[in-house]
Amino acid sequence: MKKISFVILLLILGFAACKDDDDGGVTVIGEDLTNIIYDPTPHNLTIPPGLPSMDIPVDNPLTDQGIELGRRLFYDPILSKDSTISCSSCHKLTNSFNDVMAISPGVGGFMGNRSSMSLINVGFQINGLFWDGRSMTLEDQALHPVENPVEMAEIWTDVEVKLRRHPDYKTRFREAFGIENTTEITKELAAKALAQFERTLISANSRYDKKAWQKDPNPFLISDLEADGQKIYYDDQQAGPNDPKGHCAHCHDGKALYSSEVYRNNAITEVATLNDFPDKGLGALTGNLTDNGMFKSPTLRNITLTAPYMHDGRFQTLEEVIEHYNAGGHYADNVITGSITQLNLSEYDKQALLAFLDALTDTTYYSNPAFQNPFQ
Amino acid sequence: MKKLFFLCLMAVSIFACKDDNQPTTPTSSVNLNFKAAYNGDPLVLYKAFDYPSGNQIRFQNFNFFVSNITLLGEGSTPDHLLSEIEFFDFEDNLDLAAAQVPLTRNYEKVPIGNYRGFRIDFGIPASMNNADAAKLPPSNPLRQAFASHFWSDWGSFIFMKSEGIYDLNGDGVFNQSDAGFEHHPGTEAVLFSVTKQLPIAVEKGQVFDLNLEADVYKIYVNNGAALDLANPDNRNTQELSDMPLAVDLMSHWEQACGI
Repeated sequence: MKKISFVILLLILGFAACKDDDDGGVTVIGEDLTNIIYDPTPHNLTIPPGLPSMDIPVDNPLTDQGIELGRRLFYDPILSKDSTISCSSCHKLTNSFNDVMAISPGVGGFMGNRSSMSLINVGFQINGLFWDGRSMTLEDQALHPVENPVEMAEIWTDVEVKLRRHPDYKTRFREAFGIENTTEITKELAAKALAQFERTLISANSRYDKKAWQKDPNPFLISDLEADGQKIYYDDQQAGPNDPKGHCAHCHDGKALYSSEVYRNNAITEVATLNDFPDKGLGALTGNLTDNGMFKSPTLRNITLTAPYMHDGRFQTLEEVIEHYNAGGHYADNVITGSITQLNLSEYDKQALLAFLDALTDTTYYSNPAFQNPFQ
Repeated sequence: MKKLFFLCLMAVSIFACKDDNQPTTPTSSVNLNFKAAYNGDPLVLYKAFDYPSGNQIRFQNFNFFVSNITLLGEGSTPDHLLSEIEFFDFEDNLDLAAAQVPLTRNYEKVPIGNYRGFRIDFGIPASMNNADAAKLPPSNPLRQAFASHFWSDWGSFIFMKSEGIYDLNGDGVFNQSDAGFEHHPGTEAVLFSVTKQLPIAVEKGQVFDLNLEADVYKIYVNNGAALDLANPDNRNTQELSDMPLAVDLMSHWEQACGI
């Protein structure tokens, strides 16, 4: 009798410890976390000289604990369905938080249709994220790849369960956000942590940064070839109106990103009509015919580290990219042909432009331990 | 009894105070409504319009900054600054219906009174035209347009973007053989002030609509003379050598800004 009573009691206790959650599944009642000290340390982000200010949402201030949690989530494949893909799978430290694939494989080897984008200085972006700008904040952007079937192929409710059960993450969520129970670990908080980490991914030590924005007096930072390339890049006519012009800065200006964050048809796809783009880009989002084939002008900071190029990775080298623009590309009604037109650059001009692009490369952030994989 | 007296004194003192920062002049509201036009017709992007040369022209982007938007006082009514800076981008003018809807900025707390007109500067004054704009709050138009409109090589904003294509060979079809143009004037040299005389009665409880038109045709066609877009030198204003053209275009805002 005692045994039966004991078993019944156990069963009652077991059921009492469970509750039916809103998603229809049965999950263990959360764990109280209030015994863990919540005392987040505000993180003062250092903006290098010359760079603009960064807009930090008031509801997601940077803290050391939030950034560290974000770093771990960024490198942890726990966010993917089969624990094979993390954010860092497509956004690698040494590729300016990009990768070297035209199209990156997701869970199960499924391929997407667009190239991954560099995350360096991503916190300075103010005009939409992704190639089509469909997310306006890093907090929103971070939610998308998890449930994309050709990326992480997971569902957030399952990720939340994994994070709530994880022996380390529940503590880190408490320390970062002050939650009192593991049930409060949500996708929104995970996205906030990821966004915090991404805002710290700052690079500003290219040779051109030093010369142009940091006013480094070293006369040898930029070679004569690179300086000529700079003039072509910015259409800067020093010698006269017949100087070569690359029209690059119309879409790729700005100190932090070398991107004007504009959406353009950059004339890489030959189409009969604006309806015929295989990837409509911004047009798929807005429904405007004239937005078809438009993509965000990406950052050219560290562009030498992020081949292949364009939203579909069609160009393997920067030489190919320059050759494309030099030829004028493929006309469509929404190409701004004032800039995207035959450039008539000489071989020297092209080499100069290439050299200047190399001067936008900064690899000093490689050694920043705060950016590196915490699990290695 | 003495205590009661002091309490009363304190109460009287407190009630005798008022916040003297509160405006004593009654105020009302003004809307600044801007439409874009081409020779009086709504400017529809990607639509072909007739150019004086007989060829056609089509616009893909049209936007500009205005600054120091001021109502000019009359009589005892002093001048009133509505806004230091605004950015108008007609990117949504993709069909006639959209082009007929103005872009509106609303200004509250405009002192009631009679104004004789207004002044608008087309462009950005030197005090605001610098890279410090990147550190402004996200709501500021200069901050919002910093990435797309700040030209690092000049250290200046682009004050106006007018981009499109001119049917160079006159065949009525736009294609690669035609002439793209991209006019991006900037720097203080192209800042132009426009003053218009117009009775503006700001009355209590009523919103005054200041309806303006930015006629891009009149930027390109002034006193019957049209910019020759067949000339390649007239299709861009990005270089310092293009400054005379940039100045010329921006100086036409006097005519291009219509009431």
